[in-house]
Amino acid sequence: MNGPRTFFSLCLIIGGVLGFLIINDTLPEREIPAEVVAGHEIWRRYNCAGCHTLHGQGGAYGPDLTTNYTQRGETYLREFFVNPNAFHPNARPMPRFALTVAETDALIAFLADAAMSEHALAWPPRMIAVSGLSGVGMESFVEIEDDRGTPEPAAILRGRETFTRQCASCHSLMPDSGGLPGPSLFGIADRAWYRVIGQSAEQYIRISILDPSDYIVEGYADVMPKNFGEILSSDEINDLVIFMLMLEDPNAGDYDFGGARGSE
Amino acid sequence: MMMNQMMRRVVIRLFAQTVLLLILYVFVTLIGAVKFLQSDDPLALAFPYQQVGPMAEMLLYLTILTGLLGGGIYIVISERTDGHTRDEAVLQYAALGWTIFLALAFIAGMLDLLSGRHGLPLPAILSIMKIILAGILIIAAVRSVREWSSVVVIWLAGMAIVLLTSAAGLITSSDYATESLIRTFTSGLRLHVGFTLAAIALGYWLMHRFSNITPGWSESSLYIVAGFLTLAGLIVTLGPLNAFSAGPVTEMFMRIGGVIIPLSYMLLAAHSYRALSDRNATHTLSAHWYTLGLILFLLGTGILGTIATYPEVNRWLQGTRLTDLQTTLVALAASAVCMGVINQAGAELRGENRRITGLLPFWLAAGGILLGGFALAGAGLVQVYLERVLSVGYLETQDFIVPLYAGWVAGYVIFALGTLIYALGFYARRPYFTERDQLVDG
Repeated sequence: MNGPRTFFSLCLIIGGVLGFLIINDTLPEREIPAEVVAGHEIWRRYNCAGCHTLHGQGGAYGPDLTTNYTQRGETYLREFFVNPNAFHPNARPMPRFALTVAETDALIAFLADAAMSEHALAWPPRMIAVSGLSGVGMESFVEIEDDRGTPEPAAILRGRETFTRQCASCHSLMPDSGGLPGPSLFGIADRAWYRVIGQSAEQYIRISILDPSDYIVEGYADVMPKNFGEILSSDEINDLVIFMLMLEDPNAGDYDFGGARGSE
Repeated sequence: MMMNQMMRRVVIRLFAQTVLLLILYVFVTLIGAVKFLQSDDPLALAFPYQQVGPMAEMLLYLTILTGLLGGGIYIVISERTDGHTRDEAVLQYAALGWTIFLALAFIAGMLDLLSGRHGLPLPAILSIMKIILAGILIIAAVRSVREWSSVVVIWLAGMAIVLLTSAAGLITSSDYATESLIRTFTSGLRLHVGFTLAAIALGYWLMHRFSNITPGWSESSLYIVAGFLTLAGLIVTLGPLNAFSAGPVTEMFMRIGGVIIPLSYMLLAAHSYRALSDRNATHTLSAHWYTLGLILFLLGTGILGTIATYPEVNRWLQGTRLTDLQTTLVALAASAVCMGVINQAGAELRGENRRITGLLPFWLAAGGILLGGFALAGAGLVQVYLERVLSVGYLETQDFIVPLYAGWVAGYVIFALGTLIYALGFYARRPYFTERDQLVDG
């Protein structure tokens, strides 16, 4: 009997040593900004992990939020927290938590920290989109240097190139349209998410490229070519969408969202 | 081999609580599962998923913990002492305290005070209460042990790991990743090592009851199997770490899991097969429930655990229905063993060699769990393919797999029916509270 008992004891000891090695093998200590700590506290208080996963851990009732900040950006998230169900009216309901401005800031800082961390770059293997057939992989966000030597995600650079080649003759990137036949795309990332209730900015931009007649901006004619789905590859469209999602307006906070929503 | 009335009451109370908790778990899970069907949910605001999910998880883990406590205490007192302990009063008051703790935990769940999804997401004060009361129950029971059999040693080791990991899980950190690491690691060890060891110990006790295996063989084989299961459980625990904190050492051990985990569970299956193929004249359903537990362990850890631990595969599965199913199957396996112990101990406490809960609830529970499990496995596979491989949006993917969620709901409806009939059988043939100290020896 001593043999099997010794074997079991040895396994327990080996298990303990392995556990110690594994704990030491994992996370390095790091400085956490106070706002991120506050955001973590809000994450706990409202039991966000009861429905959502972060780095694959938590409830699986809602989407994984590891790369949510990267996909949506701050402006979208800020509005989303006010009334989540307006964005996905036919999907699983999310409670309204009536967050204060400070709480919202902290929660966004927490999600930004989770999305930008070293771990988020290693997982998931491909970006998990909340909604829409995005087809965007993490490799799109690997940074390369642009022609001025500034590091930028590869997808944005490719998207900018596609924009210059295919779109710049009709759309301006300045605040006014500059006399071009199409509306200016200055700040489109800040406007796209509230154009159609329940539709993400990504979806709105993608549909606007593929089926431009679906959304005609007031004051403009339906003259945009309808064949971009044929002449651009899916990767080019993905890159173009990512580039446009970066076109933010620094004064977006001054917009009167309530009046503008759904009017176009 | 006798048990006095006071000890009898303690054990029966724990068994009754286990059955009640299982019913509550199944019904709360059913409420949660219905929310996945995307239809109008009348409880969307009154009982939202963020409350339902953690509560279902807590109820399942409390079912196991209470069942393992009741089963272990029954075995220790009825077999290894004189039918009572030196600390009877302590045991009795601790059992009363456990009842109060369970009531408080349920109230905490109803008041939405649970947090996170890590096995036992209790508020800290209730976690401390749980650790203290379970510790007292275990110590009071084992203090009178005359001879330490492998069943008692492994059960005690498993319960000690459960309590230690529960205590370690109370550590918080300002860094989300560090806190998540602590929660994931401790809850994984609690389930895959602690609960698993204690359940397997009770399973070997059941083998003694329903088969002709010799005590010497089972003594040595339990130690060997438990040793392997400890290592296998530790490695399965590493799987979830892969998504956010695994370094090269951790990844190396995860690769070793491809050999250790199947080997450990093949060994357990081989030992169990030997016992199941040499049955004695016991008429309780302990062999049935043990077999169900074994199958769920094999599916949960032996197959899904092995797959989900391999680093390259794990990256695609983490956070899907498949990893969720993996832990649920292991927890249900431990619950099935507890149901087997209740069946056997209930018959022994009545002094009868007959089943006390019948075949119908067994087949309904087994069928319901397997139907629900396979539906969830299908949902998980489709989710991985659409959401992770093809990058289809999460919401569109979930819409697509609603029919599989319907299978999950159907499975849990059958499971719920089985648990209700089990509870009725348990109540109808509940053990006597009066002094009728007989024994069914199997």
